[in-house]
Amino acid sequence: MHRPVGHPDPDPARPSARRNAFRLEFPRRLRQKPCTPYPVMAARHIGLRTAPRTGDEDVALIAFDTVSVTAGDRTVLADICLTLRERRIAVIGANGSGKSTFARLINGLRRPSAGSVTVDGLDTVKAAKEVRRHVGFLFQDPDNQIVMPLVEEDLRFSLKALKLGPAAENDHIERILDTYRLTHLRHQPSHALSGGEKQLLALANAMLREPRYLVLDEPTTLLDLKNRKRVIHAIDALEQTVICVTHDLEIAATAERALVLADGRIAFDGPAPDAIAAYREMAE
Amino acid sequence: MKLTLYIRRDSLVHALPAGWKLSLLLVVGVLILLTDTPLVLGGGLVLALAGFPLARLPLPEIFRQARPLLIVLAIFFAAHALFTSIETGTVLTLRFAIMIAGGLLLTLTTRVSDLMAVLERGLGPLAPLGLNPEKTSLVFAMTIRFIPVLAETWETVRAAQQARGMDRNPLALLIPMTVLTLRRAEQISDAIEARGVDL
Repeated sequence: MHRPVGHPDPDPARPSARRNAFRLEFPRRLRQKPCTPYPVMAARHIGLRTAPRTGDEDVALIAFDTVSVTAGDRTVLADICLTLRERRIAVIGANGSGKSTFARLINGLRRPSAGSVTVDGLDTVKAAKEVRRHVGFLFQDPDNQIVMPLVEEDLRFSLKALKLGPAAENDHIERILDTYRLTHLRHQPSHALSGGEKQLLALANAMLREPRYLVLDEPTTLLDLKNRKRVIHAIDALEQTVICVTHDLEIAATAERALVLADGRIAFDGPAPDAIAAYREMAE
Repeated sequence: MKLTLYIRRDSLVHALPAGWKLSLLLVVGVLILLTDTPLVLGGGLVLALAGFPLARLPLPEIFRQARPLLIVLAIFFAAHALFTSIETGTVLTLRFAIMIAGGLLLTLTTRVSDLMAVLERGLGPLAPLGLNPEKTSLVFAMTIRFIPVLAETWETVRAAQQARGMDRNPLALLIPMTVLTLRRAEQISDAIEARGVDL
């Protein structure tokens, strides 16, 4: 089934959804109302073509239902309505546009002030633990996500909650170290690793629990060119659905779908090349 | 080599179970309180230092890295010598030095995960009183893990202030350090939650 880009509502039975769904006539001024297909409006405003996406409409993977986040008086995100079904999704936008908050909502690290986020139908607030089993998260600064002094200890720490037993833990650790070519660093202090190795270790940690989704929050920002390539190569090889918040437009360009956030709203939602063009235009 | 981090070696000290080493440190901690003879305490310090070569750890490198601690000990001794007596200063400084040497020997020769396991077992009986053994041992592990990270942050802040022409001023360093550390703590807490660790 074809749907307009950014068709928003995970629950079309809701009155607001019925009212707004498939509404393709928009005011000239750029403003977003709850659950209107704002991306189409934004794209038209800046003269870009948007194409409807297709997918398995019966399975809602990650759904934002009229989500707002406020911090004190400040609105961080406002009325976000969308469903993410693609395998590679990029989220781009200026500093302070709400990208990191958007990412954190997906595995329940941030609670929406209004609305709800669901992953495979699980509410990220009510079923946070369950959601986190399926959603891995990679932060910008790997130093903040490696909590144990040795590489092996840090990987073992990730497996602790699964209570696998020493033999199974060793199997998992050996396999994941081999996958990310970190075997030679197994007994090294995590502090002594290079930036790229630390980020790969953080990625290995996230992948140890075999999540279905991986959320990346600017994973290459602190890396040099060589390490950036290593990390991108590792991410490219993942079978998981990847939602990548990034300033790196080269990474964003490889996504199937890209969202542009501006002032806490989705200013564009569509194919990556168009989203990047829209973002560049907004930045001028 | 980082002074607080485990160094892998094939030695008798490394091979000793973490529980034994931790218990030994506790016993030493009690024994040094039972004597105030400088000669006995000096002998204790020599024995503690002998543990490093036994663990195949280079003593000169240990001294080089422990220089800030040695300075603190020297100030401690000088303060006591000035305000109480040289003998009291000697006894207290030797006690501290023994515990520091013992503590370093423990962390350099024992994997933190092994220490965590011992702590969790040891603190288990206190769980009904509201103490969470897993959380406590994690705090211990993270303290060791983040000492080098915080040292790096300290250097960065100091370099940033020097670049702006500011002289060395510990107070001026303390505020940005506190802010950065609190911010880091928040991100670490997020990261632990994101890893699905149930505490």
